Amino acid sequence: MTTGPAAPPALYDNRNVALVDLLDRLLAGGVVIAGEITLGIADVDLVRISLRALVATIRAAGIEAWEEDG
Amino acid sequence: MTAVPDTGSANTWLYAVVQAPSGALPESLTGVAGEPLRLLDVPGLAAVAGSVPRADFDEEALNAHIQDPAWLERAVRDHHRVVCVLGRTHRVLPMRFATLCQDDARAVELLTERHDRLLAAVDHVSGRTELGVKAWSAPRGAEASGPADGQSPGAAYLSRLRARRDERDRATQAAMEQASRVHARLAGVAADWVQHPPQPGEATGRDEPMLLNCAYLVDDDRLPGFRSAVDAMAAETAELTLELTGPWPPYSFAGHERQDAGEGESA
Repeated sequence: MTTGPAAPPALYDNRNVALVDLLDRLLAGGVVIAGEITLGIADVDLVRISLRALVATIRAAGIEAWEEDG
Repeated sequence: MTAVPDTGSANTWLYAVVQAPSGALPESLTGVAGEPLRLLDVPGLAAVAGSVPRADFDEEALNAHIQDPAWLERAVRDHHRVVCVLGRTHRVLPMRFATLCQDDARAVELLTERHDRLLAAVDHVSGRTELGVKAWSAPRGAEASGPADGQSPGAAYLSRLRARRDERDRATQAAMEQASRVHARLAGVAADWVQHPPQPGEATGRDEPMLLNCAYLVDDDRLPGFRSAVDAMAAETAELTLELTGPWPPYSFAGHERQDAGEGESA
């Protein structure tokens, strides 16, 4: 699509990404530093919370169109 | 670098670490609170940060927010958007979602403490791309076996149930073996891999169990080979449905210590 001046290392898709795949990576991956403010939840709770988010999203997707060009 | 913003009422949200020299950030790039982003100097690296209102992003508020599916999805996608945009111009090492510090000074201090490991992680993902591969048992068609001669209707029913269950077990077993073979082949092509937990059916909308949910870190020049290996195995393995995702920013490998790095330290 658009080509920038410098060749990008990779063109990451930031739109057509399933939330479930994103949650796998953002809640369990990434660089971890122990800051003062932490999500006060264990891994198990994170799984439950992400599942709740997913179910809500899937329900919403059943109502609205999933993909939008906007 | 840039003017230090007033952080008295704000916390510092970290998005990613990028390799120095970092250049300028896209001006229009904003973060999870719609805030403008800035670079923080860390030796040999730069961190991409934003100031988010403390009232909305202290520990209590944050933990309340993440219970709200709509908030969580929006924030997760915002964090991801920033990382993706940075990835167009920088070698990027994403931070864990919701990495928050009291202020910039503390963020720099924490990152500087981990400076060596961050540099090693940047090195590990350089020239490589993360791809995801998921596998499920293929959907089963309805298989009908007629009642055996001389069986009572009740016995026929039971043996039909048993046969169906045995068939399902056999199919799942075969699919699991296929999934291990798929993984072994892909791991052979990849420079590194990480296993994510199988995604539950409620999240995928599939009835079949997920048998593989792995992230692979692939040398950029081996990407075509990796993709064709996935295609080939999708065609070969009747028992499996395969899905390839990505390219991803290297989330799954950003905090990853090499498994062959000798004795591990307990975090």
